[in-house]
Amino acid sequence: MKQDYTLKQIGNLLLSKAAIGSIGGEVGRLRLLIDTGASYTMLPIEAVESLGYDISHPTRRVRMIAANGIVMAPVIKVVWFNCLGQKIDDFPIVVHTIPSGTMADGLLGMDFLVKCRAVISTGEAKIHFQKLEAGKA
Amino acid sequence: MNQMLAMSEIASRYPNEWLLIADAELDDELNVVKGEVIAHSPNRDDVYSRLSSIKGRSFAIEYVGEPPEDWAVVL
Repeated sequence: MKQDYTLKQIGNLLLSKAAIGSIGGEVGRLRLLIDTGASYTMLPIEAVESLGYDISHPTRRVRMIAANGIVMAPVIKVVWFNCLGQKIDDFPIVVHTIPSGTMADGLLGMDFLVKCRAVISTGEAKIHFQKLEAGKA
Repeated sequence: MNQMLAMSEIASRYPNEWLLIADAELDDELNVVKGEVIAHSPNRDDVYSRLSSIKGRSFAIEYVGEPPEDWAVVL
């Protein structure tokens, strides 16, 4: 299985594509900012709801420092999350829409990067996975 | 807009715009191969507002182009 992936570089930022599975079998594909400053992977409210997830009944909520202050963002588990060749079932994500103008739909956070033991080469815009994950989060 | 288009065609039609693409066919690296453009706008949130109209369909959100030179992000 492939262990190295090239990221999209925009200025000093690195982006990746990610796909999310719905309960009904549909797929949503988004652009995520690689963010080692984010504890959790974050996806926009509108996309998550379009995939049929009910964010009014989250598994839990997290206190999050956002541009407009502290918000309580819902956490839900998506059926599967696929990013950079790493597909994880029942992956928990924070549902929050990041500001427009970021060139991204959401954030690929440390939860995913640590779980997959990612090593990021910022100079080459590449990511290497030391541990290939598949299956349950 | 009600037609499946290759991504190369979509990119040439909608430069520097956010796109909502329904029934997006993806390759192994999650690039859009083709799909139906449902909405396009320079403003990402305009595209998000159309997501509720395609519930039950697979989709991709895409941006075609590069940011302005004076663009910066701090989250």
